[in-house]
Amino acid sequence: MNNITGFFEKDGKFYAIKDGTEIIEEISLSELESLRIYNPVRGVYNHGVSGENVFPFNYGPSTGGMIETVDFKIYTYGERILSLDIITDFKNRNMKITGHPYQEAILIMERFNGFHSFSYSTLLSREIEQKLSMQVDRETVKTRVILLEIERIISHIFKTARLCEAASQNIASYWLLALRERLMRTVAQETGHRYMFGINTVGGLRRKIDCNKIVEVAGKVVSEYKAIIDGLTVSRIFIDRIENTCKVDGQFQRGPALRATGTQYDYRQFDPYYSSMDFKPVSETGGDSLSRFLVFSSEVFQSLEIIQKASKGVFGEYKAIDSNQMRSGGIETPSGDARIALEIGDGEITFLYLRTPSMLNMEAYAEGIRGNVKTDIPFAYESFGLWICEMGCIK
Amino acid sequence: MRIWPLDSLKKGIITTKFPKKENETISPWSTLPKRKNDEDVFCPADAIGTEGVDLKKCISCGLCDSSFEPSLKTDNYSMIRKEPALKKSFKIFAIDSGTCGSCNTELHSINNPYYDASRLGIFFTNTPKQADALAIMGVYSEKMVPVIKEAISAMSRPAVIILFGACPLSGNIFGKSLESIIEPDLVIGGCPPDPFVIIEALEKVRGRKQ
Ligand code: SF4
Ligand code: SF4
Repeated sequence: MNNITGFFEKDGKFYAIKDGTEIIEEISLSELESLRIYNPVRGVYNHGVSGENVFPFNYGPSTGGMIETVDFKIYTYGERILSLDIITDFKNRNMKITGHPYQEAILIMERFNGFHSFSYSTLLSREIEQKLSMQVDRETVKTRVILLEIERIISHIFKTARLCEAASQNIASYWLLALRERLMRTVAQETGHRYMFGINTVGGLRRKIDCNKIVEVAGKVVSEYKAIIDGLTVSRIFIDRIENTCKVDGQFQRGPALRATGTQYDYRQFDPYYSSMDFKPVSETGGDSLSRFLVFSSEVFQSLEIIQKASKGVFGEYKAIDSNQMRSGGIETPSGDARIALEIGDGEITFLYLRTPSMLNMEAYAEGIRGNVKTDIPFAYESFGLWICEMGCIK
Repeated sequence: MRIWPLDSLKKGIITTKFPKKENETISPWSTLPKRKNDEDVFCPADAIGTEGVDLKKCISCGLCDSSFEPSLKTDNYSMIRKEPALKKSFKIFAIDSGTCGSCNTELHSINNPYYDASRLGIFFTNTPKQADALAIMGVYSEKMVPVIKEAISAMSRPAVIILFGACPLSGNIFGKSLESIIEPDLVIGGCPPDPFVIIEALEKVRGRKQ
């Protein structure tokens, strides 16, 4: 049976979303309750333990050390972590997309996770286009692929910088942040916005974007990134801190965190935009922070190859298949695949379900960190590319 | 073996001279849009009025591009009160009330080598106790209200409070603003604000720039 990676309720019935297929199947509540993913999908990350001398050590909800607001309760009797509760709802925004016209819905969606805004706005735009049986021209497909991969490069560079900072590799960290800035400045010049807000629309792109400059700068940035990765992979200080940290062997997590456990699953394998690319996922087998780092750093080089192929390649027109059936499209965001179930009517969104990678990866993190020591918390966290914003409620 | 300091020396100086010199670049739609013709246009944030674009409401979406264009100026902020006692050193504590993540990373961007805000005496701190400024980002979230209030009362004085980005200023297009519970000394517009705008606004609130 395919891995179930999401579920939702609609009109009193439960539906399951599975890996590798867009078909949504009805599922009984008892089947759902026995699922491994039940807790993370419900948003409960509670693993409290008790015992002699065990105490919860609180970190959060608002500290300068984390990018976003999150509260950790670390159960320990000293250094070793017995378990970790993660409270993510302090900053829950309860966003509502249903009832909004398409363009407004896209603007809200790109502000759901602004760091991966282009992935999410493409996901929603494409899903609406699908429902409207809309034809999208080849230039749009090409530009979307290039910008999706640019967003991945920027996100992975940022993750690498955060990992270096946590491992006290400050010079490497600053260098990486400078590379990210260089690419973002080019993105801003060519697209009008550093985070690519306001670009996607139903049926295409709102601005004329010349990708040549972006592709050229991406090439330079990635070659410098390679020099940094070459240095990091021979740095004992760096490797020692991330090797064997937060080992995860489950199969329910998403994106680089899943591929780091030897599973070759990447939504781009099924994504029609990538069908001419002969795409093969990058994978590692260790399941630890080092393996996650090796996967996402290799993906930076892979993304550049895709961008270069895309900029030279000829794309076919992308004709959406008319489908009134409830289906679940998806997209491989930089943190892993996001899956969507959508209904529209009268120019508005009438139903939305969204399962994001962080919903599952947070559970994997909480599980993997058990048995590690407290100082491992930041390296492990950064290696997953978790975003609290995308764990909030969106309807 | 890699010798990082040598590698970075070879790169030369990439840090801006801003605000002494002009900004090298800017994220176009994060600046306040200016009119280019008289045609009516739809704004999803209801930010367009007879006086121009309201910086508190504008969400940098560019949907008005048939009648407006980015001003490309670094003035997308408004100061209510400045605090010249913070001229020498300025430590910021950032609070995320309900963000999309971008304001968080954009505020921290001023620390990257292209901006290096530490050259201006601007730093980040991990605790509100040591902070001279509180930068509050994101829309209103019930559970964050006591956290924000506690941070404000923990700060030493003199200090300034900054509402950062369209979310806390207007609630963006999906939430509630924070203005009913917080009286800011400085508001910075944009979704998210551009790093050059952030630097200029911070310099102003410290009384270092007229
Ligand atoms: S950029 Fe968007 S929010 Fe700002 S004035 Fe134009 S349409 Fe309104
Ligand atoms: S103002 Fe815009 S960029 Fe900042 S948190 Fe809100 S949605 Fe995100």
